[in-house]
Amino acid sequence: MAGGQINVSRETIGGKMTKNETITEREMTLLIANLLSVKAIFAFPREIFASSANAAWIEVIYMSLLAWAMLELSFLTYKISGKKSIIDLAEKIGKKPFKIAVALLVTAVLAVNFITEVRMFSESVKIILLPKTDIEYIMILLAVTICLGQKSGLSAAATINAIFFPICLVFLGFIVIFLSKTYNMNNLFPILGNGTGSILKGGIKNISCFSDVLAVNLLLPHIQDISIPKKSGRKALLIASLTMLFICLSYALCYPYPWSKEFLLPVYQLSTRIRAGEYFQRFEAFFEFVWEISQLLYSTIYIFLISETLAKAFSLSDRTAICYGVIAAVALISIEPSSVVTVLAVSKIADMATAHLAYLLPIVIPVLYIIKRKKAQNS
Amino acid sequence: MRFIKIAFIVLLLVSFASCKDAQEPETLGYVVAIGIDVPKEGEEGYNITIQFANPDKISGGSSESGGKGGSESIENITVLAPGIYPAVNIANHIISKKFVLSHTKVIVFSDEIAKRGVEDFLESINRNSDIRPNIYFAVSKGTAKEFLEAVDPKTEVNPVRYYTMIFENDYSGFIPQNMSQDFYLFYNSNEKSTVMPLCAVVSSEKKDEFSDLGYQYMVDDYVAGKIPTSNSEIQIAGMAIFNRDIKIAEVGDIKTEIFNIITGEYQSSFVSYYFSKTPENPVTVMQLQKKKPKISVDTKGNVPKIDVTIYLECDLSSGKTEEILESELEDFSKEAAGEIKRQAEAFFEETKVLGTDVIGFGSFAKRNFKTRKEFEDYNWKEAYKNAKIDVKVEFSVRRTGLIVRGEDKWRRF
Repeated sequence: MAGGQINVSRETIGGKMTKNETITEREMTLLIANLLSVKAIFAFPREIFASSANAAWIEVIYMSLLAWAMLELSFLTYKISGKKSIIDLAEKIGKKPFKIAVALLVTAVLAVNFITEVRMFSESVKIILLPKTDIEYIMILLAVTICLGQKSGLSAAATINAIFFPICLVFLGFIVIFLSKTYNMNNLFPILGNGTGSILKGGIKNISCFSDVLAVNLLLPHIQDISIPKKSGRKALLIASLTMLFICLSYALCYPYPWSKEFLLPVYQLSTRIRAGEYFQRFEAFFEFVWEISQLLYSTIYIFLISETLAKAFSLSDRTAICYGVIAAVALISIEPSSVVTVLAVSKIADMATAHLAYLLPIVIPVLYIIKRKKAQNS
Repeated sequence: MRFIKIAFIVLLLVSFASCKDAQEPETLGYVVAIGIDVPKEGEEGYNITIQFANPDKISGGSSESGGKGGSESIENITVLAPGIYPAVNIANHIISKKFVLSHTKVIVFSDEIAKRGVEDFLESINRNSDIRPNIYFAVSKGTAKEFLEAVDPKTEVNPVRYYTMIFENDYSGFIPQNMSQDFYLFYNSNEKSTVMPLCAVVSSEKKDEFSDLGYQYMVDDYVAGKIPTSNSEIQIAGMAIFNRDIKIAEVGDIKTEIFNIITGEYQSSFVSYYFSKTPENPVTVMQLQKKKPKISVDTKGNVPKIDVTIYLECDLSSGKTEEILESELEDFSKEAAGEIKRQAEAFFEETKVLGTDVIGFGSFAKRNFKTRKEFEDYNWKEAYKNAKIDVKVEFSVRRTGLIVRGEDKWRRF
């Protein structure tokens, strides 16, 4: 295969899925960038403003640097661990029981992120677009769409993502540019917002925003060249950081604190303020387009990662059954909380409990593997 | 299997069409304005007037001549309710339409409501996605119901456009450019106070003496309802000043124009100036604000020092023929700049007495602090009352229209 291409092989999952799927480096970059950016497009800026007030943009830079440092640390282990994901390495460290334990931990990290995201997405669709439609119906539609995405496979999802995600970024760029008339520079002051302490603490807490960098590691077994995930991971984090930075800056420039920490959907709120001349006002339609496409692709990729992790953990030959089971389970669990307030509270606690694992696991597991290998070599 | 696949695709297509949320335009009542009044004595809640568009009259229905516009294009219904949405709910049961607020352009509070506080309504307006953030709030000098019932959009077929043209007129400074979301974002802020436009039904009491202001010379500082006119039932001019959500004062149209100039929201308008060489005749110019004012706030000393530099330019529109000469434009510019400075200073004094920083100097003061706590401890609202404000005006006459009169003074003698 030509350099810059990633080989996603279904052979690794089981005998039944024998078709090879390849995705290019560009697709891989945009795939990870989508995973990292969806939270920025969605509700996450509100959390950052809650901790750092108008200095949210500084917190974003700090968070990005932290996430980048963690990513680089995990890259350091690639030389020895090679193209093995943390699930594969766990098996080598502690046989099957350890593999299952790590896989369940990874599944928990991914599922916690995903379950709240699915519910909040459906709730937001109901609030903005379909007020009369039942939330259950919206979730069923979302689940069916994810199932269709799964049926097409990762390669198709990555290709579609590579087409749509740049378009989404362009539309987000339009939102940022068209809002320039509304910007008030004074909203960025006092420059440190709630203070350096809040920025430092908030940055560590909110680093969960980029916790999906875990996907870089999970996709490792499917690559041919070890330099690809490094390049893709760095580029994707840069895209996501810039997306988050521009969204937070625009939001801060348009909405003074403390109101900036109150709006449920910051980017939607921004899009409603756009007025290009007398007639072109309802710009939120573009936001809805950007938001839905990226969310559906995000969901498809997420379900792929969860089902593949579980399939590996239990050495299952076909991940299709798991995939549909996971979709059904996610839909059922996410509908459980009675209100949006509960979902947000649960999401906050779950994020704090699991997000840091997403950064630590790709460092700790390879380090354990390296130690074990060295011990074995010495003995 | 093939049948199942086709059935599944058809089912998906139907499902994704979201027909459940579909609404036919003819079943909807498009609310264009809402008026809020205090109820009669002994009644609880508010008298809420819903003004909605009459699409048949706007489009012309089956007639070939098109829409009619005027008062026929709108209808009003008043209900007693505890809030805007309960009022919409009641009205839905009275009128055979489902009211939607997505095209609402203005919410009018009666003077009495504004004096009691409007906070109760702000929440419902911002919490719901159907009301847009760029609508206008206004305070009616009489009741909001009277005002809305007097609205007669003679020059517009579409009532929404009528309100847009009135409130977003680029060629007038007599209405404060302050959208509802700005009011919501700053009404509770410690860096800025808020304002709303004043509106009223034309009153029979009219002042017949002119003010002695050199800015808008021979034009009075009118509030809505008092401008002498013959072809309109309603007027929108001047502004109400708020402390938090409560109206505490009102200023006339000229001071509102000064407000717009200082905030940088002013665009252009015809302004008549006093000129000492033609005291009987004002010099009228087309005034433009090409650059936003430069504002800096120094909070180092005991009292804040505010520097404001206003940049205005104008095109000469009219004046007394034999007196306006190109050699005198410099004198005129100096006098005009001095007059704007005087008016601005007078406006600042008024706001300092009221303790309301409507310009938002507090937002600039924030630049001097590192954290929000430091700024909060400074207590800007109190500090503003003693602020020293220095106003500089850069005023220039750029063009003289189609006439350029040189040094020829023959018409003076």
